[in-house]
Amino acid sequence: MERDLIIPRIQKTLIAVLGHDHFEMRDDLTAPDVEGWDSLTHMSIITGLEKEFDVRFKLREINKLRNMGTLIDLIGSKFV
Amino acid sequence: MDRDEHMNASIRPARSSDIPFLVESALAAEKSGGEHAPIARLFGLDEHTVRGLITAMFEEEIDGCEFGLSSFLVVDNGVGPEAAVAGWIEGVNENDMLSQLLRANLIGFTFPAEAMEHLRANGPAVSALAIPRQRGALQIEYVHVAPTARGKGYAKALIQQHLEAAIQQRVELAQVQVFAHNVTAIALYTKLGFQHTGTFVTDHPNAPNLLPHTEKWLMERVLH
Repeated sequence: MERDLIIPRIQKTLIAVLGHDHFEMRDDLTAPDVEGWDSLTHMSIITGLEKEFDVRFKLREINKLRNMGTLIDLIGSKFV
Repeated sequence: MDRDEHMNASIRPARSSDIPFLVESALAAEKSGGEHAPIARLFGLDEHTVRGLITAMFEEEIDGCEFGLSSFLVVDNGVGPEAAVAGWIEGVNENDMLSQLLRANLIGFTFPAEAMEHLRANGPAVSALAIPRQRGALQIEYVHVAPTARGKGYAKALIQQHLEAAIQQRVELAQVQVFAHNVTAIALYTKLGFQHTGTFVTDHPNAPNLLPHTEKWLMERVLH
């Protein structure tokens, strides 16, 4: 799946969980940069992304996520 | 710890066979002197179930958070562990990931979906006590001494060893979080040079049902 198709769907999931859109979908965006993205919402974000893209992440995959760019790449890799 | 008085006791890194003791340590520390572990209440689970889930998290052997086997030092009396303390350098691990996210990932992958629904409902009651941890700082967590081994200075000795290792690594700050009613722990941390630097309070009406106390302190010690 193309990055351009993945990014808006991640953005939609983040907005649904966090209740705001006060963030830019940059590759170097990290959780601490985003208001409300804490340990509690993180679990909902991961679950929400699995539902949105109908994929399952492995623990070691999401423990390697450094920023938004690596999240986009991980989701893209599920469709190769 | 005075080795002359406790010839058979020594400090060592935790290993897989210590997991049952670490699970009990995590549960006891979570209770913070109260009857209920917040980790059970938050997820709407009984303690027996939570014990199994915490065991599963430790078995994943994820570095860099309070459920990481590699975070723990234990006092071993020659037969098995009698005390344990977790310590790790925040955000300094294989992928530089913050411990709160590692912990969240572990819980998300281990706990059942119904439990996650409980968490979503209970989250707002406790979120004010999610104290941010400073990247690069030593984090001390899950300080526990078996009831039969108390009064021997084990907790102090374990924390000191974590502090000394951090100082050798040029870590500049140590942080510990403690519920405000836990005067014994606060006295220990104060004796070890920690100072009260932050107060976090939740006034959510459901918080007293979920937590041992509604006020949590951040205590810090400058190492360099």
